[in-house]
Amino acid sequence: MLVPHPLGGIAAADVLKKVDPAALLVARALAKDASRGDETLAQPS
Amino acid sequence: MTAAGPAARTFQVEDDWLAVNELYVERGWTDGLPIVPPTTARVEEFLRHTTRDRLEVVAVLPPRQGEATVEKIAINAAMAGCRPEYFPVLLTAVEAVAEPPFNLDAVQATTHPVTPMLIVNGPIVKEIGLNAGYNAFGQGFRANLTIGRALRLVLMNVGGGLPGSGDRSTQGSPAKIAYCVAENEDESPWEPLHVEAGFDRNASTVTAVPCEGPHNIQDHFSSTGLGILRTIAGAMGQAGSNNLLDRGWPVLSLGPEHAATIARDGYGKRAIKEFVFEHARFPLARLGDEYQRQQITRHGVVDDPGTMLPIVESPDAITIVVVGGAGKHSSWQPTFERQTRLVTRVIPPRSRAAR
Repeated sequence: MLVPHPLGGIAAADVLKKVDPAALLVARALAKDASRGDETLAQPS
Repeated sequence: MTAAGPAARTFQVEDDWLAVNELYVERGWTDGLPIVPPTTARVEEFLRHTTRDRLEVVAVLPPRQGEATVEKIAINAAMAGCRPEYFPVLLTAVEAVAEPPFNLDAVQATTHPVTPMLIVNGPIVKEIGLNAGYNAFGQGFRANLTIGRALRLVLMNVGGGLPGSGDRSTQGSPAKIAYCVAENEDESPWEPLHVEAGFDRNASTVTAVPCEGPHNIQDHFSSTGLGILRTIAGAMGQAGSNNLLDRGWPVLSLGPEHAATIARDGYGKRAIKEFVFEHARFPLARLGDEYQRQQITRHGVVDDPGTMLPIVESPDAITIVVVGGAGKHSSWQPTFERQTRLVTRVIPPRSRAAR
């Protein structure tokens, strides 16, 4: 069966500019984690 | 927010329910429970219950700063086992938790077991079969369980709230699995939550509350409103809650029988809030030395053995709803801290009709 990927993309740079720098660091650290073994299907970062 | 996000990539999986579930667990896309495979056809059914574009970014969710597009929310709703007609409630819930006063960044990442509790009011409650009566916080009703679960999947998959990384909750809570309830408006002696907040009674709303799971308050013996309120104040004025630590915005969820007795004796919501503010207190002298110093330095309380510490800064900080069936039980929900507040949003009427 055909299923869509459940994870969202990471917000674009212009959106992230409004985010606290500390939060950005966390987001980048989580970006790799977010792909969770799905490197060929999604590149959320 | 009206920016557009990327379309969801699709991929082929085995046409086998167990195999699909093993795959989703392996990839960390679930909350630990089996999911309903979100086939592209199933996701389309959800998208018919909103007029919004599938690629619209409804919110950017911390800590991962993931883009919660309408489509991504629909995928997670399908996985959670929602019926498509629940989708407008979930979309509104995602918007609510992303509002700045809710402070989702803190709620997602803290060691505290805080989680969004969704309180639904208005006609949509009966339209989609949300439970407001017996066992309202518990099991047995698909709408309650799957809407709450779908929000958790969105917070995990899109927002990155994964245990141990984006979500550092020390012990977690069963409430973090699914926490969605309807107010029992039919048995409330007072105006419901959304009307109190200024919305029309015929509007349908979602209120997202950053709080702990329900703490039971049993009083089988008091036959007066004052007696029940004394028990409630005694339960809420406890050591160890974040509301004693930092005040905040706790919720009092009254069972209909307690509410009826309290109302019979002349208490309105305002009078209840004032009573709780005055009496839900804990003695400073019963705290440890370091905790006493925290209260004195952070909140400026008087360093005196007779000082009684409040859990809120004013009566208005307390939210009251009526929830549940018959019985002499109520509950309260301690909240996280002053910097995380509940948010109420209207479910757009147009989006309730499938295109």
